[in-house]
Amino acid sequence: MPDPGLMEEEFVGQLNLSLWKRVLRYALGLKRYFIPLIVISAATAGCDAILYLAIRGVIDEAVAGRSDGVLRYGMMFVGLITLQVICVWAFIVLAGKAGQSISHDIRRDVFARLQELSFDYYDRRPVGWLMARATSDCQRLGRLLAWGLFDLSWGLFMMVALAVVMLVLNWKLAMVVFAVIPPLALVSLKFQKLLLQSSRRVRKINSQITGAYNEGIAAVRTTKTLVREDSNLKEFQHLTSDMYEQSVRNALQSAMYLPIVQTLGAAGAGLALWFGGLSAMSDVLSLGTLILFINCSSRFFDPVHELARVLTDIQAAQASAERVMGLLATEPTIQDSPEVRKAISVYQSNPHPDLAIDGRPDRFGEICFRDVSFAYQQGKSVLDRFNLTVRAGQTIALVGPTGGGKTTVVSLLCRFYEPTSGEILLEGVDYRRRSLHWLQSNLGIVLQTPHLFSGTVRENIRYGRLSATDNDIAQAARRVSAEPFILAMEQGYDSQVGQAGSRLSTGQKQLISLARAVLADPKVFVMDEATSSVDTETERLIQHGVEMVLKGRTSFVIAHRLSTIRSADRILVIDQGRIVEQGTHHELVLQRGRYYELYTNQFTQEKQAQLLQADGAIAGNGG
Amino acid sequence: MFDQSGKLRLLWAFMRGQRARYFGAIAAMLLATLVGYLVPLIAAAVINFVVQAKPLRAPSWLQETVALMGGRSMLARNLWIAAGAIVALTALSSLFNYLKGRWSAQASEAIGQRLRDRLYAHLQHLPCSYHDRTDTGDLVQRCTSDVETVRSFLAMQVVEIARAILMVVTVLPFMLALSVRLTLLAMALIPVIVGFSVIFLSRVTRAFKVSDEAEGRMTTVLQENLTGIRVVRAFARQDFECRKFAAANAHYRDTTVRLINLMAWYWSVSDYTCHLQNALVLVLGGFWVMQGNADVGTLFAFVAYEGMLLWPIRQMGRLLTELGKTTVSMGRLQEILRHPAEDGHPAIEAQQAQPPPTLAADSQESRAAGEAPGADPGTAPRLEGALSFRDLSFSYDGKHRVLRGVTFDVPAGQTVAILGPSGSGKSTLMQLLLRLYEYEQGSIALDGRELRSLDRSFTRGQMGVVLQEPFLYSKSLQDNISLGASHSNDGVVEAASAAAIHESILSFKKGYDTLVGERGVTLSGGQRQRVALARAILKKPTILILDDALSAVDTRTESLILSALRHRRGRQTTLVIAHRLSTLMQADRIIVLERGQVVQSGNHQSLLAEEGLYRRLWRIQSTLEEDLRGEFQAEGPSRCVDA
Repeated sequence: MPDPGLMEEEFVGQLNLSLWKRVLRYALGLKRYFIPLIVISAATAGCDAILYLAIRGVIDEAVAGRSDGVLRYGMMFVGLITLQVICVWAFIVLAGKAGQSISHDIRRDVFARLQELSFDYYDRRPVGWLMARATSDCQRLGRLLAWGLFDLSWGLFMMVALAVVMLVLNWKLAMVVFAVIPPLALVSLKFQKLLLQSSRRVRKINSQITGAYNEGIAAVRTTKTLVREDSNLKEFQHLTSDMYEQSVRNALQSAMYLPIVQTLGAAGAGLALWFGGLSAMSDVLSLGTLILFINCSSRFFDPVHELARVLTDIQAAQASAERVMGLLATEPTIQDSPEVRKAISVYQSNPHPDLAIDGRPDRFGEICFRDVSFAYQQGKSVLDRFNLTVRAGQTIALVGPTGGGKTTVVSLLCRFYEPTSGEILLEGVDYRRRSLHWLQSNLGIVLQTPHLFSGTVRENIRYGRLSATDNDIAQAARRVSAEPFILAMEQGYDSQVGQAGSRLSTGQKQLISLARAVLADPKVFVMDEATSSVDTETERLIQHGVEMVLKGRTSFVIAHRLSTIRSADRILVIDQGRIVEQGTHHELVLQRGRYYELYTNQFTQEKQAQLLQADGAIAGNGG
Repeated sequence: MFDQSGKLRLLWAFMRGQRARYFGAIAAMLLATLVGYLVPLIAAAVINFVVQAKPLRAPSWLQETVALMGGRSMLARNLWIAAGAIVALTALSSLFNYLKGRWSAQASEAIGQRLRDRLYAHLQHLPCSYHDRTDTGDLVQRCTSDVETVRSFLAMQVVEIARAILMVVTVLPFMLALSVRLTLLAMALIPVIVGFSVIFLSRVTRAFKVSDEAEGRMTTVLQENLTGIRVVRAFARQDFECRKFAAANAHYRDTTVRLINLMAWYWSVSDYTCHLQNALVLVLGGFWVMQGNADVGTLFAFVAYEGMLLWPIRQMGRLLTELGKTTVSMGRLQEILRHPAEDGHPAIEAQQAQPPPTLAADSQESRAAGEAPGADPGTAPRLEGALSFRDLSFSYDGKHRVLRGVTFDVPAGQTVAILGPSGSGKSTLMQLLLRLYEYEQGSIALDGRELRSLDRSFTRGQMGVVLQEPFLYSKSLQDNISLGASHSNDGVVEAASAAAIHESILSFKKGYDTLVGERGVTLSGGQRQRVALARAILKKPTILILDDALSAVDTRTESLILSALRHRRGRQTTLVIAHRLSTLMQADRIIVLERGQVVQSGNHQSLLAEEGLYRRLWRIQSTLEEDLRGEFQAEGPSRCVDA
């Protein structure tokens, strides 16, 4: 797995134009925002420049003693600022809307793509990494496209407008003022780059500090028992003094940058005063024009560092763009083949009651693994020429050591992964020639750690069948004996389960996920039985619920409970990617082999757990 | 809820040692501002005096200097002097600006560092009862983002507050000196701007909250989808999920757009008022110039000063919101720092921030809760390791008693095993022994000395503990076992071998240098337990405590470890919590705890002879035999099953 820490924030020196073209496509869809935005930025810049003309007018008219002229230019000034403020308002509204819309659209596409990508993609990337793509990266791109684009066009228009005003009024003086631009641009680019680098270092140390706090708090008991408080603090202080050093460096760079820009701007104003003053004394230049030049030349350089900032923002955001666009361009490794898709398009328009959407029988029948091999990573084979035939209606229990391949068998059956060689046949047809959606919507899957979504109990059970009525839901809950505890909750079926079901106990979550599976009424049922212990009463309820679900259905169970194992039609002992023993409980006990060993161990553990179960009187802390 | 001033006092306490830098920064800022004011003055003077040939309005020394240098005509010929002066003065003001930035950055970063260090140290010293009640994520959030809020306030706003005040205070005399009437005119709309900012910003906070909540909702949907992606696929609910996300996504966009629209109103209205203020000065000033009540240079300087006056006013809105955020963050940090640590004291800065009378009362109280007076800090000789528990009772919440009058002895050098159902108080007993919690009733004596009279770290130093789910630091395995102490490599290897982990460590690519944790190798539960055991063994403790510490280790390895421990034990007292018969059998004595009381005690033989938990555990074996016999009988004549 690539280290997510290293994948973050690569410094990209070169602009990747084709990448930005793809990002820009999101902005092009929003022409109704961007065209006005550019017009507005031009208008704002124009207003800014013309404002100086108005100030000059007021002063010149005042010096000449013409009161109506002062009033005229005064009105012009007020009119201009009104226009400008309207522009600023419209701009914030439009850019805000455009930026948010772009983030929204990219996020929407990222989410949709994440729903299609196969599990091998998820295996290589932590959830936190994927979250960051869909949240901060999208936000960053949206903001950059909207505000960055505006800043860029405003800066350019502003400079052009001011330049035009100055050139028109006195091109020689204008050229003198422009002499400051090259050094200013160089300094700006240089500093922005330095700032970018040092702020990255700060962020890196910051995440290390967060990690250290996490560890410090999680390890608090261990630390106390080892009397390591002081040595831990000493190690932590290394981090914080690093942090001090790097952040101060970053702060010093920006403390240096702005004064330099100011000084260079002052040089421009000084030049204007010097040469402009000379011309004014020889009456070539009016006083108003002189003041305008001094004002303009100090304003003229604001956009320069604005432009430099946008350019570095683009560089900084390029890594985000690469990650997001990379995610969007990833094709799922498991998807319907072209012929299946063709079949679906044919049969979808005229559906047949007995046929599935891909035009084949809507039945699973016999399930057959033929010479199936599989490896998550190349070279590390997990299943090795695995063979298995399961008749319809059979319950299969998979037992064996962790890492032996039980979960892989089940994941392959669900087509979360596909065999690297060999095939899995449903009624004699390779499942890669069936619709993925048809297959998965006919499987009922209960995972070891039951996952619930925030919302009510009812919504969580309904997840099994979206069209289910409240009555269906209650029935499903009753079948797995989940109803008593649901009704005991304050709002019954409408009680909130909390984020990821945090308000429920593990046992309760298991019961709800069983009810969800019962409601789905799948053709084939797949279960990874939980190992975590629950209290005796809940354990009894869950055992009963599991029986209800398995009844009369083809089922695959990664089993840990003795009751489930014993009642299976067939038990497979799986180790090192092969079936090492198989048969009924009775047959396997008599063999006195691996199963016998597993069973006696499990028996002792289960009984022991029952004996040592808290008797309820003193539940809670300790143990 | 703590009072506002308490939070700011705490902040002030943390600023100790950095206050001089802040004064330096403020002084530099003041100088930068003052020098900055001179720049428009020069331009104005040049326009009036040199270009328009009006009399120079300046202090007499300057007038004399100018006259000495050759007066107006010299300056007119050498206008570059004025230009140079502008650049030089700006450069000087820039230098002061840089110093301001430098000192305030150093001060704020140093305070930030101090806050982080103090929080880290205090969190480690807070009692376990505190950590039971708090959520790790919340604490980390406080230590990182709240510290960052405070730090950025200290970096940006402290000097800005001073600047805003000083600007108003200093720019006014300048303006007043130039023209009283223009000054009054220049201030006409300021009350409007201030009033608008205050009212508006208090209302916009609600919009911020709504948008934050919408973002939280969107993130939750996303996170639940990603963590539950297997369930989504299992029910083929991709379309349903996309619709759910679309709603949250659109809601977030819309609330944020609404917030931005509000901000658009804020910025444009306040901008407009500022511009109108400028227009007022310009137009009316223009008329006054015409009437001869003001001159052009003065008007020009006023237009420049107006910006300087308006700037702090426009900043005020931001400043107020920042100050609000900072007090909230400071309050959240205060909650941590105020909480008394194991020694009974809050963090030092929190004590300093306390008003004097409360401090006295507090320290008395804390002495009662903390060390007994005259605690002996670790000068005691090497201990024998005899423990005696007398009538020990304990409750976590003051209501439900977890231990009720527990009494038993552990002679030095013996191994005592404790058995009991979950919730019977086994772990609580260990935690009291380690003084992770303070016992109030009864006594625990180590070599005849009451535990509470001994220094906490001294007693902990005597004990080696392995917990059921031990924590390994994200360091190398070598460092995890030796923990920085300068143990020889042989010692580490020996301890690792005794804990039966040496072979597994060598099987890793980097051996003892293998990193544990996120970026390193993930160890299995059993491996973690054995590494922790090696760490405890290497410490050569007087008392070794194994709290269900080999539960994830298979029985064969466990017996290897136990016999290794027996061989090297010597004088070491050992307390074991376990429920495996194989472990229990080897103890010198077994104590059975139920509902917080000792219900049985004895050795393997004597406990088998009486009805109780131990014998019931032993009987599982025979139940299994019966169960299997049933299976075999179905087949044919029973065969004996070896136990």
